Amino acid sequence: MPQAHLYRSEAVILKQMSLGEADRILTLFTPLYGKVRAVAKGVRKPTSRMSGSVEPLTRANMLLSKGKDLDVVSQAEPIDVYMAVRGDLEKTSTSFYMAELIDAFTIEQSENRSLYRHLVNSLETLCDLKNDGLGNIREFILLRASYESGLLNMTGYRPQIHRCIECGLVPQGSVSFSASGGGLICQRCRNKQTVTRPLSVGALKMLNLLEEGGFAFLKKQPFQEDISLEVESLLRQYIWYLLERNLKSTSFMDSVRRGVSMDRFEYTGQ
Amino acid sequence: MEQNNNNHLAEPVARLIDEFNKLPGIGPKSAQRLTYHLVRMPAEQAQALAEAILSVKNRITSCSECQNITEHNPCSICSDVKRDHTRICVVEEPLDVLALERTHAYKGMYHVLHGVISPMNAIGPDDLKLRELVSRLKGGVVTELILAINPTLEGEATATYIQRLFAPLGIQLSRLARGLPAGSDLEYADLITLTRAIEGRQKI
Ligand SMILES: [Zn+2]
Ligand SMILES: [Zn+2]
Repeated sequence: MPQAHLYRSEAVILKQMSLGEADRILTLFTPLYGKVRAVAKGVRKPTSRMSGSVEPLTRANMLLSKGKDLDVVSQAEPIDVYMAVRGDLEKTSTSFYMAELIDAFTIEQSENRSLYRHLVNSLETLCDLKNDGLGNIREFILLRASYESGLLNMTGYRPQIHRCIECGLVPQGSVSFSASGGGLICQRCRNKQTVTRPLSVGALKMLNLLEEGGFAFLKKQPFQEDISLEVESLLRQYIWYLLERNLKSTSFMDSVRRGVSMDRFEYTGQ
Repeated sequence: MEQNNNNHLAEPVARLIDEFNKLPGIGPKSAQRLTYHLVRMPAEQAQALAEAILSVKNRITSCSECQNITEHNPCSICSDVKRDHTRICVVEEPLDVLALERTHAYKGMYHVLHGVISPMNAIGPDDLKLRELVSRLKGGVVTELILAINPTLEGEATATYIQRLFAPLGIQLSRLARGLPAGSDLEYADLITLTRAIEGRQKI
């Protein structure tokens, strides 16, 4: 039998799907090879020594062998299982969102070390957040905003927030944000884009600060809650426009945030 | 891909290979192997297999109570008056019911969710059989809910979600005792582990 082509890589497991009797197909995110799809064999059996290392949202050192269609995981040593995320619904739903965004914005065989680093850092920060039961709204929103903003920068979708995307001038007076144009749009040019929304002075300032620093820096800034909610909804709209679809993890995150209730599962008579 | 090599095959053979290939865990190679095995099979045996497949589709339905797959609705467990109807054990898949039944340690009811919350695979709470569970619990007969969901990240999120969902009803909630290896599937747990897990369930 010819020697299989083996390679080593660190990876964060983004998602898994059961395959056949006891296998799982994993979607990995790696610093050097971008997204990688690989089979982990036998890991659904309790006797598998690998099962604990190939769970979604686990960071692991892996030995993989190149396959024709899918690669195969030969070994996996966990580096971090982000224990503080597990069993915590606010944190888990946020981590699902982080993973789904990476999955949606990256492709296979495309190196992106900074994005990998960004994901790992954000998961570590998520573990450290204090969850007061309501998900400590402010810090969760800021962490998500800094995660989204960093991800947009690192995948080439940084919004233009210094000049009008149409006329190129620094806007004076009231401005809008255009998801379709990917940035600021001044009052005079506003009709040239289809998807626009008014942008408050405070939200523009927050977008600037998001470019300047990460979560640790943002946390020290005195944002009003309505400003961070405005930025959250703006970034979401922009991401929705870029992906042309809603993310399932966004609606799950929102339902957890609104409070889990039996109301949504009541029969409505049909 | 291998399918491209199927051009020169007899049409019925290619078609069967194609159908097998759609099944979970069956690659192009296995699909071919299975097909050639069937080609050599005696006609009566092939007939029996075809009938078995059809009767699964025609005679199997889901139990309106526990959502498990069954031939009769309600299923044999839900219609068994000797079993404890005040307890419901919530599991991910029908195979988990079989696994727990093999322990003979549990005499209550079941509820099959048919999955776990997994937004990355486009499965949210609304895609599980939670609506049906809500209406069963609102009936007022059930006093205890046992969450026997796989200890995976998605499984734990689902268990926590259900725990919050039913907290207002004030019924007793428990989870299987720890000891099942993280990331593994319940249906593969050995009997001892599984028996201890269900006997040692803890209040939450
Ligand atoms: Zn302009
Ligand atoms: Zn039933």
